[in-house]
Amino acid sequence: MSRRQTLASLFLVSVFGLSFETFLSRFFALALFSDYSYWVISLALLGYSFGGVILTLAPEHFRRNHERYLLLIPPLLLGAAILAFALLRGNPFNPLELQNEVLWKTQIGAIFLYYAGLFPVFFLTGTYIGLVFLVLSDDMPRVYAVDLLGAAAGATVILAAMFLLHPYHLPSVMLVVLSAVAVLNTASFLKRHGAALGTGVLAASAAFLGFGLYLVLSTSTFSIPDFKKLHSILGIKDAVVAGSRVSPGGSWLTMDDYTEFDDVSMTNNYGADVAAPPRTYGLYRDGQRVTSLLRQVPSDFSYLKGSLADFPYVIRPHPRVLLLGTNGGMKILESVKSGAASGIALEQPRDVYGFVQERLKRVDPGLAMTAAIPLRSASAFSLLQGDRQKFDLIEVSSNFLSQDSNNAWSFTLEAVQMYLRSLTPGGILSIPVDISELDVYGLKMANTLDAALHGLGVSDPGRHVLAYRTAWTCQLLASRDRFTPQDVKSLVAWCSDRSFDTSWYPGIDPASINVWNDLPPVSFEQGEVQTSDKAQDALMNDLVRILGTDRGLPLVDRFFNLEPSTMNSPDFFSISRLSQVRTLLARLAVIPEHEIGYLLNLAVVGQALVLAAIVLLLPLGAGRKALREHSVRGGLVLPKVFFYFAALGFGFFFIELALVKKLSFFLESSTLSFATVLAGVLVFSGLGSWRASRHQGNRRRGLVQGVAVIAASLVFLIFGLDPLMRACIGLPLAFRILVAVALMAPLSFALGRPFALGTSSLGGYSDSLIPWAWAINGAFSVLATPLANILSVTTGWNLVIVLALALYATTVLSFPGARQGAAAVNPTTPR
Amino acid sequence: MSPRMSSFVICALVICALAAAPLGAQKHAWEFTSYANAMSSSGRDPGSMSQGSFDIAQSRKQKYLDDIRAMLTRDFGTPDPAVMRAFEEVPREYYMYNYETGRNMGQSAYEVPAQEWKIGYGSVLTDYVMQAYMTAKAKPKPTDVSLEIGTGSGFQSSILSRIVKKAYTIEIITSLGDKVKNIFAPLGFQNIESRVGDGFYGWPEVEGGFDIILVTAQAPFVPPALLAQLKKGGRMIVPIGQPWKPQYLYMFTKDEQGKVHSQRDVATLFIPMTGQIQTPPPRPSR
Repeated sequence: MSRRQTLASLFLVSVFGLSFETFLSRFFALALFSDYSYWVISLALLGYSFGGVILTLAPEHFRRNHERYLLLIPPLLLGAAILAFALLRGNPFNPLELQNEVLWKTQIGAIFLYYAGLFPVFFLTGTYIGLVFLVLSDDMPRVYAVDLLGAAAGATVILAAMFLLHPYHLPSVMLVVLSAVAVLNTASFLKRHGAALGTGVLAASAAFLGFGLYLVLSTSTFSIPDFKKLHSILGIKDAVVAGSRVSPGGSWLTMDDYTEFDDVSMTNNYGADVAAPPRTYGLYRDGQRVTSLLRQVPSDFSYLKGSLADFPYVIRPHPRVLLLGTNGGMKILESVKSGAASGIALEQPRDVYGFVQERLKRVDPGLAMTAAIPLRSASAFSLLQGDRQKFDLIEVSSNFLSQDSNNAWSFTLEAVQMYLRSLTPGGILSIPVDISELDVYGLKMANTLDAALHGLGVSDPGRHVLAYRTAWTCQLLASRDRFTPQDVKSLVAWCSDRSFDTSWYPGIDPASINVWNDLPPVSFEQGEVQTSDKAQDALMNDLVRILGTDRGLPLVDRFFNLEPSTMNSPDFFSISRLSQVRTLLARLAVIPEHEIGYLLNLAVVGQALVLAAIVLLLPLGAGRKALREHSVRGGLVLPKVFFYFAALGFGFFFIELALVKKLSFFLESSTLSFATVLAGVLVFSGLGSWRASRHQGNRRRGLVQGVAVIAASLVFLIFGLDPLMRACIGLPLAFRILVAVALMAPLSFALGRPFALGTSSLGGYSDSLIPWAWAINGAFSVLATPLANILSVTTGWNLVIVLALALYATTVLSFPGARQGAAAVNPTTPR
Repeated sequence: MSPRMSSFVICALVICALAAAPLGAQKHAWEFTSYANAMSSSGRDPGSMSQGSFDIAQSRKQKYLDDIRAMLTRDFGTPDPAVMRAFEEVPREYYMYNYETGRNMGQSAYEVPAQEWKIGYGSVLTDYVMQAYMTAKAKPKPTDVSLEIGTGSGFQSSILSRIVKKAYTIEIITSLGDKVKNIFAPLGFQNIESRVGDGFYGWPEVEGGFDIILVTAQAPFVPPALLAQLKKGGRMIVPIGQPWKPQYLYMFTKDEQGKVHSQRDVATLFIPMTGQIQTPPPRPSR
């Protein structure tokens, strides 16, 4: 194959590789839960690493026979991709059974089925890419650039396809890409080597493509795993799918069935004057219920009198409201009916906003009911920036936090302080928290309010907070002004009428409280619950410690980490401590579902460490002779190669993940951030790699320049990015995307250099070193993703960026290039 | 016909009538043939269940009852004899069937340790320890009338029916409910009434309401119709949590004033301790 054809095939295989990885993230979010996408990424990089290992063990053999391998791998990859899809679809893995202390063993086989199905795909992809690196090692900067640009194209293509195709049908795009590689390579092979093998490959590829497309496109899009809520909902009598949509953000269904009600926390004492909450639609994403969705204007709003969220409207009548989340549009109507004078409603993510807007137009086309509180798709940060807008009541809906992971930004310490500053005198911030399983998230929110008030100069936060609850939901109210004795008296009477429990108010005497909804104290660490003949309120006991004058157990001593989340560590639902892993595993069945992602990341770290050891030791053991024969005379090439490419593997992914997370705040969408960062980083680093060929004469200097730019950019990310984002978040989205791209461009351009210059310097030593470097880089990239997530929870994203900076700085010392200006002569590669 | 012949015919007719009658009505010993007949009568294929696998399952039954008894003693002080009798009488293997795949799992009945079983359409047969706990928690009495929202396999309703006066059950998933409603009659459980429909409105036709309500289908709030149909002094039990995972039990009771109280029962997840849980002494304020 000509150089041009080889590069073209590399481009297409890279398109396939990243598009398949991105597809898998979407698929796993639908077929399992989105936390498992980290595992997917690790599987991908695992396969790439082993591809490099195989090449390291026999580089001469692969170089001699590279044309045959380049011919045979694409159809094999086609077959492997089809087999992978079939195994994915048929895999009976149940992540909930994995957490069951009796049934978990039955899931081990299913886990291995994922490895069996996916490993060959990524192994073959990694082998192909590594083989091209090996064959064209004399021009690594350009070769690596083509790889990166192909990956960028793959991400772009598959993300665009997600707007048109259901996740189960996305592999059809990838199969076409792979077929194009097969055709391209076969055409070249036929010209040089004759018809038999080439024709056979073409025929096999055509057969695979046909069968694969049939298998993929015939998959039912209503095939929902039986552990997902939607599975049983679809079977309910008279249930109807009222709407559906696909996007990179999810596979959405609107359900009309008689189990769908307004997500409102209600009294249990329905008198004659309190109706039941109204029927709604249910909005489901990837098989899980996200929120209720407005179905029609309720004929009877009397249920609001029994609603937990109604109290602020009682003590602050006719407020100007800011609604964060609308429970599918219901909150807008309810707020108007509760007497709101005016306001603004914000809904995130954009997909949910779209559904809500559509329903509002349908049921209230003349805006008779909703004109007073118009709906916008924006985050509170963009609206409240500059503290210009003021509200009497800022009300968070019960679904807002859980309906999208990106909404966690709205519950950081900085966000809560912003809300409090945006209140008028006497204004109230109202936040509901689910306490149906454990009350720890309620305590974390209380801590956040406490810290936010302290940060605003309030010396006695306890006088600025009210807390009351049902059995399943706690409502927290906060104000910059003290709640008055009249407010407290109203609360006590109002709650008593409705059998709500008052868990905190200024001056509360726990001994005198009559508890309606028993909530016994639980020691998660000891696995004990305190029983009593009298109803208890564990939430009250803990709120007294947090908000009272006699403060109790410091946060650091609690089993769960209840420190407020911040802009540096924004995940509200991450309360697990690394020091408590053993107990968490022992209580796996009962820990909140939100915390499973943390444990998954730990498991992936464990897996990655084992694999990194294999990648490091296997070539050294089996191929040591080959490596040693080609090692540089004197010097420490092997350790340098190891540390250099391991640092790059860590550092590149640390930076990429930190950018995705931070820009998800700026772009108000984790999906958009992922797409922008992925495409931006890959494109610009590809260009940077291409440009790095100019430094072949002095690679070390080229590296140092690149690292200097990376370091400066990372310092800006740590100190300057947050203020910049807060200042610009009010800009239109298109401008913000441009700002994000402009931020990424110089950093990404520089990021393309180290790998390109490092590998191009290896060509002068040994063919074995290039695929080994590729394998090391892949193995440590596997480790980087879960490690970055764990670090972000434990210490925050800024530390992840600092570590990336340190890692790139070490590359100046570990750079393996000693023979400057010497390019490998490769007689088998035409120019 | 001679007297001898007529006596023979009469005896034969009686024997045939006895053989055809539902099992429970006669209190026959529960054997493989009874099981197979009942399965067929309910429209289900016994599948891989044979005499041998049936006997093996039965050999585990004593351990199953012992485990239930031990749990009830630990958590309630003494095992309710009515609950124990019900678990002895109701053949669990008869309910271990996946209605979506048609797979019979009865040969695994009385498994140790107890586990959940998929019965199709997203539904799960809860493990027997949890079911025994919920049954005991409900404190069923022979004068009670019970309502279950979420029939599932029908096992829980069947257990309750052996104790209470009448057991009503509603399944919201059509495919499941239409099949499960056929399983009670072959066992002779005449005091169970089932339907497929919207359980959140309860069973308003039952006058006087219910002493016991079990709600296994989740809602964001306790449906007011169910609270309205709960008698004063009655008990409503609502498990919260995902399938295959241990669940939190909520018990709602209605006092004489008609006000509702709730109790969160986590004894199935955490060891119950009376008295103060040890916590460090308070620290100085900020």
